[in-house]
Parts: sequence; C-alpha cells; structure tokens
Amino acid sequence: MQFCAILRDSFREAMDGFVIYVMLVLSLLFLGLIASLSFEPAPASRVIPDVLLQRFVLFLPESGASQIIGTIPGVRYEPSAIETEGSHVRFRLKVQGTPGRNGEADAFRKATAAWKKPPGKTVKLSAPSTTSRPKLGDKPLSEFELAEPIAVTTEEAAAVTPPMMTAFLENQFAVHFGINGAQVTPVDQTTPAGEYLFDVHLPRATASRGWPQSLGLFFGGVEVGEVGLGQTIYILEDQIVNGIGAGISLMIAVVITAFFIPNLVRKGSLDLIIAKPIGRVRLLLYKYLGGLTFIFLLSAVNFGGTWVILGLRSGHWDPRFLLAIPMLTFTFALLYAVSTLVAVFTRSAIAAIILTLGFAFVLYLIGQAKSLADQMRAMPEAPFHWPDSAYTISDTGNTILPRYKDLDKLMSLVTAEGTLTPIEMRFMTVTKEFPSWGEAVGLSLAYIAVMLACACWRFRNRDG
Amino acid sequence: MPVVSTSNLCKNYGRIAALRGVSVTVEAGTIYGLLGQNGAGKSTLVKILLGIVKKSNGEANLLGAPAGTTAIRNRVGYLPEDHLFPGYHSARSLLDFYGRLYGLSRAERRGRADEALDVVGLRKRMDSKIRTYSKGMKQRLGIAQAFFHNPDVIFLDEPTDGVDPVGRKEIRDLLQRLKSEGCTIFVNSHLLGEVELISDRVAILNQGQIVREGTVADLTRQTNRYTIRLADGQAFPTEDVRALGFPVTAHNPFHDVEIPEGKTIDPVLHLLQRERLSLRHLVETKQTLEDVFVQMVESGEPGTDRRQGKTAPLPTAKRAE
Ligand SMILES: Nc1ncnc2c1ncn2[C@@H]1O[C@H](COP(=O)(O)OP(=O)(O)OP(=O)(O)O)[C@@H](O)[C@H]1O
Ligand SMILES: [Mg+2]
Repeated sequence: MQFCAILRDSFREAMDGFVIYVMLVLSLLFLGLIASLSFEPAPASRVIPDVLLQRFVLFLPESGASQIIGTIPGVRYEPSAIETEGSHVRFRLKVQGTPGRNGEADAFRKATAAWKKPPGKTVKLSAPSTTSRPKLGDKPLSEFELAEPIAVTTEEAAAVTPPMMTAFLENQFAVHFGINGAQVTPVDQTTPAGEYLFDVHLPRATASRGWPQSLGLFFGGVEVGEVGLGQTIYILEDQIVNGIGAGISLMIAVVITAFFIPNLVRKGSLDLIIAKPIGRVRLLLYKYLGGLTFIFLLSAVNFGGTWVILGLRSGHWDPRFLLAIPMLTFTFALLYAVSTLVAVFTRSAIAAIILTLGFAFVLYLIGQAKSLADQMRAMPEAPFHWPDSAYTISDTGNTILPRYKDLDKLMSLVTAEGTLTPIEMRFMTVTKEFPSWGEAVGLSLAYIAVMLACACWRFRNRDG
Repeated sequence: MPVVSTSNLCKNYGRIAALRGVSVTVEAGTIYGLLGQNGAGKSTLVKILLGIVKKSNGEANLLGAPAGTTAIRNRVGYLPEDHLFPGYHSARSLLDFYGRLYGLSRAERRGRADEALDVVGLRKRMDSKIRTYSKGMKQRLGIAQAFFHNPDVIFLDEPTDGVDPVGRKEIRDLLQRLKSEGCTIFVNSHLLGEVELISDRVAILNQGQIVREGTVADLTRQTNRYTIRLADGQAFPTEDVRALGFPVTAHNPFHDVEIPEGKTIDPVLHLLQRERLSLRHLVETKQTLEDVFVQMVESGEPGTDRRQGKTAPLPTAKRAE
C-alpha cells in the first residue's frame, strides 16, 4: 500500500517534467522508424542456388554439435524445379561428389562421414565480418577455428547410409539458414556413381533466420540492401536498440530520476513526509524502487515495442531479446544506486546527475581499456606497448568495479542466440570468452547493496 | 496518560544549543500553545517529538511511545513551518497520497479529503496543481493535511502564517472544533493574541528553556494593579496616594495604582472618599499575554540579536542622499 503510494507519487513527479516527454517523443519516433522497415524475402530461385547451397562447403562436425567449423571440398549441389508456396520451398537436389580414384569413396560420402566425426586438428583464421564491423572494444582479432580436412577412413566412408546423408543435409539447412524441420528424401532412381538425388521440402524457409531479405526503410521508400533476416534483426536489436537506444534511455532516465530523492530530502518536503507513518529506510528504498520501476516500464515500452513491431514486420519472433528489459533495469539499478547515494549526501539533483554519469563513463572507459589491454597482450609483436601501469590499472579496475561492459556483452550473446544461425554464431567468436553471469551480476549486486546501505545509513541518521 | 511528555530534553545542533532541558506535559484534549522568540527552539521541540530531528539528551514521549516511533505517527497530524508541498500534486491528489501512507481505505481517503478541503475553504481549487496556489492557500492545505486523517494529536507550527484575518478566525474555530472532538492540539506561534484566544495552557520558551508555563489565566493574572479614573475636572491626589505607600503611574485620564505585597486597594479608596473625589472607573488590570511575553523575554537574553525588544536604528547616512 505505502509502496504503491510512493510509486504513484514518483510517477506523478516524473510526468510533471518535460524530460519524460522528450523521452516519449524519442521512443515514438524510434518505434515509428522500426515500424517503417519492410522485409521482402529474396526469390527462392536465386537464394537456393546462389546463397544457400554455396554455403554447404562449410559444416559443423560431430553431427552439427561442434563449436569448430569444418570444410568439405569437392561436392557440388545443384537444385532444380524450385517451387515456392507461401514461405515453404520445395526443390530437387542433385549432389555430385567427385568420385574417388581406385575405388575410394566419393567426396559426398566422405563429407557425410566427416560430419559425424569430431573435428580433430584445427587452424585459426580471422573471422569474416558476418554481422557488423568490429566495434572498438570488441575483439577485432576475432578469430575462429577451422577444422583441418577431417581424415576419413575407407571403412567409415563405406559405412555411410542414405539416412545418414539425409540427416547430414537436413542439418546443413538448419546450420546455415536456421531452417528447422527440413525434409530431405532420397529419390528412388538410379544415378551415376558419386551422384545422389533428393527431394527437399523446407518449411517456413523464406522466414528463416538466414534467408536474405531485401530491407527497406520508410515503407520501402529507401532501399537498404539484401541481408539475412537474422543478421538484420541482430544488428537492430543489439547495436541500435540495446546499444544506442539503451544508452540514451539510461541517460534520460538518470536525469529524470535524479530529482526524486533530492526533492524528497529538500528542506520543507522532508518534514512533511517523515511525519507520516513510514520509516526512513523504507521510504528511501521505496523511492529507489520507484526509480527502477520507472525505467522498467520505459524499457518495457521501448524494447517490448521494438520486439512486437519487428515481429509483425519481419515474422521473426524470438523472446530472448525481451531479456533486455530486466537487463537494462539492472544496469540502471547500479547507476541509480550511485544517484541515490549522492543525492542523500548532497541533496542536489545536479550533483547526482553529474556524478552518476561520471561513474557510468568511468565504467565504460575501464571496460574499453580492459578490452584493448587484452588485445595488446594477445599481440606480442604489436608496434607499441602500453606501460605496465596501464595494464595494471585496467585489469584492477575491471576486477574490482562492477562489470557494466560484461552485462552488455552477455546481452549481445543472448540477442545473437535469438537471431543468428548456428554457423553465424560460430563465427561470432567473441562468444568464446564470455564473462560469467554470476560474476557480472553478483559484483554489480554487491555494489548496489553497499551503496544503498551507505545511503540508508546516512538518511537514517541525519537531522531533518 | 499525557499526550506529550518531555523531561530534560536537550538538543544541540553542533555547537548551537537549541533546547536546554525542556520538560513539558500536554494532557489529552487540550490546546497547548508554545511561545518564544525566533530561534527559541519551538520548532526543534516539535521536530524531536515527530522523529524529524534526533534529540541529544533527555526524554521525549508522544502518545506513550518514545518520540520517533514510526507506527505512532498514524495518530499524529503535523503542519511544519516553511513547508514545501510537491507542486506536481493537486490538493486532492496530495491528500490521497498521504491517505495511502496513513493506510486509509479508498472511500475514507476520498470522503475525508473532500471534507477537510471544504473546511479549510479550498474545495473549489482542490483539483488545480499546488504550484498555482497562493501562500495562504498552501497554508490552508497544510492545515487540511494535518487533520484530515482524524489524528489524536496535531502539531501546528505557525498555523496562521500567511492566512488572512477571516481565515485566521476560521482556523481558530476549526481548532476549537477539533478540540471538542477530543483532539489534542499543540500550537507554536508568535501571534500571542491568537494563542491567548484558544490555548488552555501556554509555555514560553526562551533560549531553549521553558521560562513560564501555566494556563493563560495564570500567566496573565495580576492582582496588584488597579486603573482608576476620576470625574472630569478632578485632580488625582498622586502625592497623597504615594505617601500611603502605593506607587502611581499616570496616563491621562487614568492612573495606575500598584498594590504592594500584603496590602489592599482599600486605603486608596478611603482617601478618595475623604477628599470627596468621584470615582468613574476602577478596574483590576490584567496583563495581556503579550505583556507577559515581552517581560519574560526582556529579562532573559533574547534569541537572535541582543535587541531588547527594540529595533536597531536604521543606517541613516545612506538614506539622507
Ligand atoms: N538544522 C539546523 N542546523 C543547525 N542549527 C539549527 C537547525 N535547526 C535549527 N537550528 C538552530 O536551533 C535554534 C532553534 O531553532 P528553531 O527552529 O527550533 O527555532 P524556532 O523557535 O522555531 O524559531 P522561529 O520562531 O524562527 O521558527 C536556532 O538557533 C537555530 O539556528
Ligand atoms: Mg520555528
């Protein structure tokens, strides 16, 4: 009851300023922009031969479970009679594996056998840019491991059966385009040695994550280009909404909520509220939670709105992105704890805003410095090196300060899992060194607890 | 059980001693007035009782619980001095918010808020934002929020500050009504006339100490002074009366005769009779609370600057230009 009262009061206060309307207008503009996006699937007659089947040269060993990418040379895939029916695509697939000499198995049999095996030896390569140009602070050295051609024995190749081949092909559709439930059936027809015929049915293929879509802005008024659906949504969700959008939301929310507590403790208002039957610590914590609820609703509108609109426009509905709502709230919880602490000590909203944004900036700098330091360490032959103290500062800073950057990285991972195809995920090798959730969340929680405890202690023991 | 009781209550703000051993008791169902100069410590005393300020020493109890107990504040109303209501509320929404904090039901909140705003004369404007209110309107709202939840005790720090004369009369009537409903009221004020009109008991605080305490009648009664007026054209026998041992002060056409300890006015009346003077006016003079107050604080060290109740001369040099 008292909590609801304080919450409603905080809302009334927030709605009283003009900043909230700036925020709402920005949100509306942004959601409007997203709503103006148009997605037009590229025609199957072009995508199947020129894009999808071209990628089949890569595969994931261990029946698709491996983290390492393997290659299969010498197999040709030729589609014919491509039919599209709604989002479903059917075609006949001719697979030509170069026949082996001296009675050796053909390349397709070998590939199928290799697909079932673990990757073995690997080489490191630089990742092609699948999703975006590397951001400063990402690992631009993004490397991925490629399996060296997997040795397959004659017996293993001979043991390959038609069901293994269809399973391999079905897995390829899932790995490259994220098409789940592909049905591949061998055609009952005699073929020359090393040549195989299959009927392929790809359900919901043109709405799959990997399917190229020509993207238009302003309801098709501006042609952006042809990109895989999942990648487009990933970039929108990760970089634009959760990157820029979340940054702006956090800043505006810091400004709006920074006034809550200074207004509460202002001479003249404090006496009024303290004389009510509510304890001081409870009052302060309720106010704090009020601020969090505020950003929670704001991000629910922005992220939820983006998610729904993108879903409606593109047909891609993966709920993982919605995790951004609690994540942003949590990141804000850290900043708002700083704001609360400063406000209780100084009674000044301006001080709260400046110090909170300063704190966020320091965390950002430390996060960037840490990433750079990691890169420099990985390059012993780099043209120059930082002094040792710089490494020490960035490492210690990163260890003892809340992992604001880590939360961001983790959210990127979750977003990627919700949008990218399995093979794109393997290219995003940044994924290999993901911070642990426990550490990232735990350390921030500890900071929040300590700062709030200080604020409560001060608020409890002050006169007036 | 007294509603308020403090004993030897002390408060230091750093090096400033705001309260120096204050002991007061307020009985239920009375109106208690606390007087004192600026900086005497009136507001500090109330703030300690409400838990806004921490006491440094001594005892302070409110409604039987130590001052500052959260739950007890359900039964308390408070109008602070220099209050700053959130401008984004309207009078009605503010009372609704406070009502929720007091745990009132929706129906109670609505009914009592409307009634209270009606009583203080804000009903017409209760839906406009507080930031559009005049000073007196905010003060009226402050009074409404202090009593709308039916508290057992109300603390009012300068309740009539900024309120027009009609409003003041209304507030006095309201306080009498609340008292008649069993509410205890504790008023801080400089407006002695007002306090005199409504209070059952009064305390005078000076420099953080209680210098007088009692009923208004106790404080203002003065048995040893009579004001006399004779018929026109008759001269008052000042010297003869003085010769009898009664000090006289003249302020035409009246003469004040002071009666020393153990004597009565009778010898003076006999003298006038003997001299065949006709009496037109004979009154035992009462002091106003203001007289008592000024006397008290003049004898003590004043609270702010050492002004002794007089204004310092204005800097005239500049004004001459
Ligand atoms: N927060 C504070 N910090 C320091 N000193 C204070 C504080 N509040 C009050 N004082 C000092 O305590 C003394 C008593 O102040 P208080 O406000 O109780 O006086 P008052 O009797 O209510 O005066 P007024 O009639 O002007 O309202 C004053 O000397 C004042 O300067
Ligand atoms: Mg005062």
